Amino acid sequence: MNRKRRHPAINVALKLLYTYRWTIGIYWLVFLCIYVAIGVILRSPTVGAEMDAQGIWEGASTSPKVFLLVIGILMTPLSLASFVSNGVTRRHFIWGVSGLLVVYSAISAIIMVIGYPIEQWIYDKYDWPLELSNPHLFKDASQFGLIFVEYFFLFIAFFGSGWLIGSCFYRFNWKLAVVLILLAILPAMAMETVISADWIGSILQKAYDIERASLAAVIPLALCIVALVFASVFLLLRKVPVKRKVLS
Amino acid sequence: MTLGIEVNKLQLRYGSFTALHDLTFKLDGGKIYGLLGRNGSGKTSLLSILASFRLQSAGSVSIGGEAPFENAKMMEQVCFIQESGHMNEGFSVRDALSLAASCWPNWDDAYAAKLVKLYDLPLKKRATTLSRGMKSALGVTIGLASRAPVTIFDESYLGMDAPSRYTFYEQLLNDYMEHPRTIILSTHLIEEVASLFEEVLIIDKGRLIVHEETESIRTKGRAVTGPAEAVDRFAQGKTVFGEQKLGRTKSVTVFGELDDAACERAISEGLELGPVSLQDLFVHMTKRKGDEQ
Repeated sequence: MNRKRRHPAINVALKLLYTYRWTIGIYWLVFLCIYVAIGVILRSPTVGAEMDAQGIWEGASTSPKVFLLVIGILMTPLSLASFVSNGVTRRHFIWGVSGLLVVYSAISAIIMVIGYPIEQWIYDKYDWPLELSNPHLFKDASQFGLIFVEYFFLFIAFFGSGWLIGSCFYRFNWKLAVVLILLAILPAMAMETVISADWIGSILQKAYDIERASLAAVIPLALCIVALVFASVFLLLRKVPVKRKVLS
Repeated sequence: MTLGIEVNKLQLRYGSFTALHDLTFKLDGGKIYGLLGRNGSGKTSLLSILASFRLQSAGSVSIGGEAPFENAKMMEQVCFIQESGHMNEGFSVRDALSLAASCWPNWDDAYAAKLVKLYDLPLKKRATTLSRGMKSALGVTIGLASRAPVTIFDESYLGMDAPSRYTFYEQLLNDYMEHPRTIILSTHLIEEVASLFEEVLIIDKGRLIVHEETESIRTKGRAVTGPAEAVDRFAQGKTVFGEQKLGRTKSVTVFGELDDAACERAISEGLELGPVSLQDLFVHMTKRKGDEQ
């Protein structure tokens, strides 16, 4: 029977998008609700006086980074076997998850981009001053492209580090995998250093006087880190045996 | 499309333990094979290599003339169903079927729907929360509807109750007749499925000890019963798997070619020659020290 079939890697990405649709959707809904609530509390007359011109949204990226790190950790242990047992190669699985990584990081970065002009609009409406308190690739909320670039690379690096951690636990025994977490988390740390934004950027630039490289250098370096993550996962999983599931 | 399988000096090691020792055999395409072996004999290890679940330590495997490991063209032609399955934690039965439908090139939606109805599979229920029998039913549904040219069932129907298992055997045979392909059944329920096997492979301690047509093995095994002295005389020089004695009557299971003259001589000495089931032969062939205690 001839069926019109998608490329296996695209199939993996779409199936995973479908599988995690509720997890991602509910996370962002809860996250946005919490941030609106925090915003309301912080800008209330009793607390707001101490806030000066500090924005709320600027500090919002930590939670999505950790969330994507966790989703990344789950990728290989929960999904590799189900795809390989359905005739998908490990190589196509890795390409599919890589695609998912890009899509989820882009969606998350777009949400961050949208948050800035909304925050700016609210602050303008109430005549509150708004300034960025930490260094960023962007200077104000209107530089959508740079906001996207900053968050996209940070999210993809955290997601990638999570994927590496999960793959280490799948490939090796847990004792070795625990040790390898130190290496697996390096892409996220390296990306934070290269982007040199937010509080890490603040520490690097203010406490250690380490200036961020020019954008022309930041983007290729960030791309190298992403490529390194994909290559590392490929080396980890290309020959990994599918583990037999214990009957439940 | 049917695909043949060729295995040459295949080895698999887990650290210092060798699970498969230089296995060499050839399976023609379009037949039903029975893979028999005791627990831990290496059946699943062998099937895992055929299905690219793991890479061999040494030797080679070729399916349809190509090495299957990480070969996208071949991996989508080999469907390996294990009892425990490999369902994604959050998947419903519908999701599991949808994933399989998107991955197997010869997937038959209508046949899958028929099997879902036959086994009364709850489409909305999470696959991991299904009973053992239902998980098995989902597995065989995927295996059969995949119509993969090489379909392997590794104890995948053990969790089913007897009626469901017989439904599976019937479906397997009917579908195999309509869509010939290479099927490998690994099982401990030998008597139930023995009639389906065209050829049998028996693995013991990681070594292939038998690979023959089912009928050929059956005819080689004979239960010889009669007066103890006559039985002993007849069995002399033959491979004897087991013996039982009751008073002066003795029964032994002999294995090997018996020509017509030998059979006639046995009958003339008052011996009875009876058939031996595949299961009994398997038990005798793989018997180990301590099994009789």
